[in-house]
Amino acid sequence: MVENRPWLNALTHLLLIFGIIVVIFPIYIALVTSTHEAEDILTTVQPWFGSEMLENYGTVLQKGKVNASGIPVGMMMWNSLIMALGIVVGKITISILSAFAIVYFRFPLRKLCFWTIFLTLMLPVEVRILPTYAVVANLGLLNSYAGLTLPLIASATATFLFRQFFMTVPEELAEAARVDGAGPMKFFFDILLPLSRTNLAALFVILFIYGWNQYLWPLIVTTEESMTTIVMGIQRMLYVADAIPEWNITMATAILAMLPPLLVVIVMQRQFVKGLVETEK
Amino acid sequence: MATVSIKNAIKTYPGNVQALHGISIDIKDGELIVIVGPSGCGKSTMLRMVAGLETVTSGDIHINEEWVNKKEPADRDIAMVFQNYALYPHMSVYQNMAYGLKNRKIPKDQIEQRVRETAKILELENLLVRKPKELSGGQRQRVAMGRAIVREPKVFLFDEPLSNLDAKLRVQMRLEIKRLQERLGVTTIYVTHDQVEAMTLGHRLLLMNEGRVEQIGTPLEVYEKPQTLFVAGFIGSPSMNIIPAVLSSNGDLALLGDSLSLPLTHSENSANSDSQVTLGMRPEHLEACESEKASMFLQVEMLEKLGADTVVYGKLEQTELVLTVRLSGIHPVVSGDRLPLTIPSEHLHIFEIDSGKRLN
Amino acid sequence: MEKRSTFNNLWLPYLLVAPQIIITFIFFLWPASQALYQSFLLEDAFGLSSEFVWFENFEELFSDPLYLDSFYTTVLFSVSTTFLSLSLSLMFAVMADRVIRGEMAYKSILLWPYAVAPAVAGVLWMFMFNTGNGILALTLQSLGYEWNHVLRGGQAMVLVIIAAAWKQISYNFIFFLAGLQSIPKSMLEASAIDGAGPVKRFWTIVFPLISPTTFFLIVVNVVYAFFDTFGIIHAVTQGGPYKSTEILVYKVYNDGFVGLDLGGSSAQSVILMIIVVSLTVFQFRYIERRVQY
Repeated sequence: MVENRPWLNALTHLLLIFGIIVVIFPIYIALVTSTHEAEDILTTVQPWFGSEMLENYGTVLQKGKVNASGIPVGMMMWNSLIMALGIVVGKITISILSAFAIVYFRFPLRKLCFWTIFLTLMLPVEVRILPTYAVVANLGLLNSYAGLTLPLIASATATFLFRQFFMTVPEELAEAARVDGAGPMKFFFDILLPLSRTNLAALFVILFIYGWNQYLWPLIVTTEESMTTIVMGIQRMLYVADAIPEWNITMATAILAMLPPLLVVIVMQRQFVKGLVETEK
Repeated sequence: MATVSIKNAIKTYPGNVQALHGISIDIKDGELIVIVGPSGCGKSTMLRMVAGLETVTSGDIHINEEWVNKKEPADRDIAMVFQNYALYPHMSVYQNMAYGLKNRKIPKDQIEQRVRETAKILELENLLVRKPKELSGGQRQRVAMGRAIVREPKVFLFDEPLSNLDAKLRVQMRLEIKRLQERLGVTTIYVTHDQVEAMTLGHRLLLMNEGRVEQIGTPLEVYEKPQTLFVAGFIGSPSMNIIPAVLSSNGDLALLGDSLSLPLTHSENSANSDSQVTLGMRPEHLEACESEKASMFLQVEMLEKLGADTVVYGKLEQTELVLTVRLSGIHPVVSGDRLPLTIPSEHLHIFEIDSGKRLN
Repeated sequence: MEKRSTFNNLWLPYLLVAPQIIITFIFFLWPASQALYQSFLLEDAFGLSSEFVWFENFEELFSDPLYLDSFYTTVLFSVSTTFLSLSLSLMFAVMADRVIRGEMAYKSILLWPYAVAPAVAGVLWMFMFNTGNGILALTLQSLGYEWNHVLRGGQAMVLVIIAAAWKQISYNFIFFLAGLQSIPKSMLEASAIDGAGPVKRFWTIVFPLISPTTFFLIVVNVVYAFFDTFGIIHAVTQGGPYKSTEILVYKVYNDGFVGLDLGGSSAQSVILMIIVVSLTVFQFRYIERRVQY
């Protein structure tokens, strides 16, 4: 920075440490709570880890919260994983293909297609929830992975990201490929796809988090307990009339719910930041 | 090997923008044709039409007697070197060169053999495993050529292949391209805006301006007998002095102003006497001489001493006409001098004023 | 901007756009138009017949004090969430921008909340504020302040605002930091030479220069607070107590799925669509970057 003032540097670090605490503290409390017996946290706050960690997580993964449905959280995580990956793969596939068509071909309905895709940007699932539910119900897709993922995989954002990226690919690359005897699909797989690697990784991170964290949609299309996803499963644990509120179990579930996306953010931090910034261009 | 024939090629873009107004040329087998002209003249469009990257609005393109207007680039048996090389960034040098062969389903061992041979010719043997971003500009250029050569095409197409290189490398690569083309004997179309490149490389030049052919000819023809005023001004450096003049009835050529006249011996002069014309004189053809023999005098204003040449700028005495003169060697002239000049009459170029067509 | 050279194929491009167009049509356009259509219908109590009633559903909505309250709640919630999250993020970003040592560690951790689902974020904060055993509730109690968001609407609102703002810190932080880092160093040095201290420099140079980022983030955060926070409300307060945290999105869900008021819920959907469309258009007008057609 421009000048060096000791008190200013100290303040900087102080404020940043405050920021870290704001971020970590809720997670820390949840983690600590998840390692105690239910009785130990009924009326007090436990400041440090207890001894029931393995016990609690074992219970949660295999049995869930007995009073609230009793679906094993391991199963919920499995459902969440399939939904998240389904959304990631589905979104990326249909967006990259349509972006490829829009950028590399001239066809009569091109602009119409572009604007149709653009419209989806303005229609988040929350605002069209009832009729979308009706469509999914009519198609017989309630309580299915297809019903969980398909309505969420059309995305203007991802299409625009790829379109933007394709526009920056030098013209001559496609021309060289044509001279080299590559047809459109060969060009797509041999050249465009490998060049899109970093964009694919960035989108993967963003879309995985998006998919894993879905809440409203799974809430309404899954009525069978066995299709519950973990993020919505937590909610069901909250409003159960227990003899003893099992906060340890609920918090263990919360930790498990945030673990996969958190790991993705930590491990792929660079791609994550790129993805976030690029999708808003 | 192959001939290329272009007949009355016209390109019109949407919105009725006409880029090419009917280009025709017959290219002989093994010939290196340079299409040269200022930027925006349509030379790249012409090349891309031969490549099949641009559709032909009307006219015919034949490669080896075969009509190719509707053929995909890949089916025309051509290879192209792009201005920015267009190497596939994620593939190694080897893969870049092999890609076109692989797409043509050539057996692996043959691909290997051809790539290695080509790499040897271009001295790329040690770079085969590298990615394009690990190469210098000159090396990338070589790989781009390698990718074209390895295909053993009927026709090479070069689209300003040297314009991304620095001056020194450009001269070196120019020689290399010339040597390669002579060795391989492949019919070649080479597009550039650089007249030096055009003059040194081409067997024949096709000069273009605003989508029209100005002249087709060998470098010397183009230099000695420019058919239009545009060609006269475009070829040669420093460029030709172009001044208004009047043809007198006795065959002499009168410059603008009453007192100056130059003898004109050429009998094939097709202009009417007393008509207004445009006169061209190359700076290197103006000679310093004794005052008695001088046909004109230059009021020297500025000098550039280049060592091998001395370039003199000044005004013709008794006129406002500005002239550039290139004297060979180091000449003792200084600014403010009155420099006596003469010019052999065979070096006078006369053009019609309106059309810019050559008259003598 | 258009590609000069394209591939020629009559049917391939249609095949390529087909999956996206079909999905868009089935799950976006068709439901959206259904919402529009149904918003003009009135169903009888048994759902057996329906009648076309033009704008009656809308008129009813806007004369319904509950709906107007929900509108007010939503505005209060979005504005507070946006303000809280943006000011915290900006502060952290400014600090992270000027810190030299430990930069990476700070940055990495500040990205974490993005990974946490809104509902989960809500549960974390809800537990800390839980009367009887939540660390923050107990702390407040020991300071003489009774916290019970289950009973007190105001406190419930504060709780969901904190949870929603917390979750959004990472996103805002990343964009603010990118904005700050794009300010040329020489400009700051010049103003330092002109005698501006760090605080003055921030308000006169830095803040005006990142105003496009700020504006963009305001829109994004408002959209987030309007739509993406459903999970927080649903998990933490269920709109209560006494509808004090019932934001519009929650009401659409509640009236439609729980109350089964098809026409009313659709009319609400349509109003939400109008809001999100105008916010998006507004953003495009201002930031004209994304689309160049």
